[in-house]
Amino acid sequence: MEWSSEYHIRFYNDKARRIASGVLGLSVVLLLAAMSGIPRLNQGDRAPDFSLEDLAGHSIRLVDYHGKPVLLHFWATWCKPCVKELPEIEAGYRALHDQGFTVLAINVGDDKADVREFTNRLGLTFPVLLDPEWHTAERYNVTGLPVSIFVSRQGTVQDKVTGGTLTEEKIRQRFRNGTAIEHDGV
Amino acid sequence: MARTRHYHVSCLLIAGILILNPDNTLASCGSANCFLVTGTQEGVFEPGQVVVDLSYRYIPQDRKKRGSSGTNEVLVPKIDFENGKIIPDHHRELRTINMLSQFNVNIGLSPKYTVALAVPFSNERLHEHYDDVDLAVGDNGEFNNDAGTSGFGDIVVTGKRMMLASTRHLLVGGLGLKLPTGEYQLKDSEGALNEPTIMPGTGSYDFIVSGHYVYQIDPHKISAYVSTQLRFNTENKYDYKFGDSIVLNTGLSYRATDKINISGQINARVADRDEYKGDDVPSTGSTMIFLTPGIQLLSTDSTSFYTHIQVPLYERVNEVNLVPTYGVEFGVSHQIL
Repeated sequence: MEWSSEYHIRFYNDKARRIASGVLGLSVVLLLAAMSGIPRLNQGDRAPDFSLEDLAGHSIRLVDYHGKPVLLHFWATWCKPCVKELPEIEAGYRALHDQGFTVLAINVGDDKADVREFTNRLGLTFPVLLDPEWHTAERYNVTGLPVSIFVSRQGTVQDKVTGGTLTEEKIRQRFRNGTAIEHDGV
Repeated sequence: MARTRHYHVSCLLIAGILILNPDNTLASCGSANCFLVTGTQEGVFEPGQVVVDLSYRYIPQDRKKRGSSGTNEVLVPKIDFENGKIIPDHHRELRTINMLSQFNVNIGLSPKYTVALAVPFSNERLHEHYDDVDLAVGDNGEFNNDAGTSGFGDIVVTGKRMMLASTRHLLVGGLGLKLPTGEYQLKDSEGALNEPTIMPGTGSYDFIVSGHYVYQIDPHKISAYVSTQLRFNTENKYDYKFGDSIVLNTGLSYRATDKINISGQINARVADRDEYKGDDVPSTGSTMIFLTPGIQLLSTDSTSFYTHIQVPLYERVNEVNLVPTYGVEFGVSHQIL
């Protein structure tokens, strides 16, 4: 059968439309399949363990701090709200460290040399760990920076603070009241 | 239908460029937070965050196509609204230059919802053609280089919802409404209603469904994305309906330095024919695929400049039509709050 030019053009446009719709539908299916593996982390869940290197090259695991309240803090040097918040966390760490409180500041994506220079400049004394491939951040479903996750002595997630709003006083208050550290938080 | 063609091609490039336009870096920082996977025009913004964007697009259309092949002559119909009919082979098209200036604003309403406004405040076309071609009597028509049609375009309001966000994934869905705010009742040089497809507005309410997915290959450095937009058009009061369309985009964005982002994407658009009083309008509807590289310069934490060039890879039109040689866009984006 010989097709008229009009039929030809209409056929190709219909075909293109079907192809576009098919690509769209397939993309949705693949997308849903990919996203089915996204972790969910709720209060009371066991905080995922990890093993990350600190700036000295030592391997640090979260389970090493079992029995102590821990503040996990995800940050990056390019994150301006992080830069504002870190001195507050440093002040809280210095005030409470001798009472067993620990901070593990997990840097995501930056060069080790840049992180070292940054921490020296700010005078940070708590352990700074490196998560260059964002694997630990993914396990904690970090979608923005900074994120602070309070982990109880039992190793469960008690609270999650975003938005660069942590202050020394808030850290002291949480530790003093024990509401975020030991029990369900907000 | 050169004018019809011009409008659709302009829409394609405009839509394509609009969709691909990142108005921020891979990570958007507000005063209190840096959201990793948003900050693009297709994404969502923090509550209270306001991002404005001003862009200019230049699209010359002077290549002649029959289907997907080149041709020497483009004769297109005219819509005779007064008598309710389509006059075939009325214009011999030469070229059209499209220039669009647009203002965009995105406002973060909540962690999941953002509203976006697109305001085409100047939609201008410089148009050259031969009028009143009459092949039966050998009349080649009268040269016409009227300024074309210019004016305010149709505003689009879009509500976007973050469907899913994780460290590497972002899925945003959107529902939009194009409002008939633009000029669509302009008169041509003979005092008749101008061709719908070359006027700044359509006179119709149109519905838009969109989706945007971003995957952070290397968060804050490299991302890939896929987006789509389905447009369902309605008839205006002159019984003219622009063809529905599907747009698909895919691309990569790479942070070359702290200040420079480089991007590349493929844009594809399939448009149905227009209809007049229920009949298909010849020389309307098309399938087009473009390659669009771009670069973005972050001059400050809250301001960036960008440019994109759109190069056609594949163009197929119904019957005959003019198609773009290329398209270029310049813009500036600023985060107010």
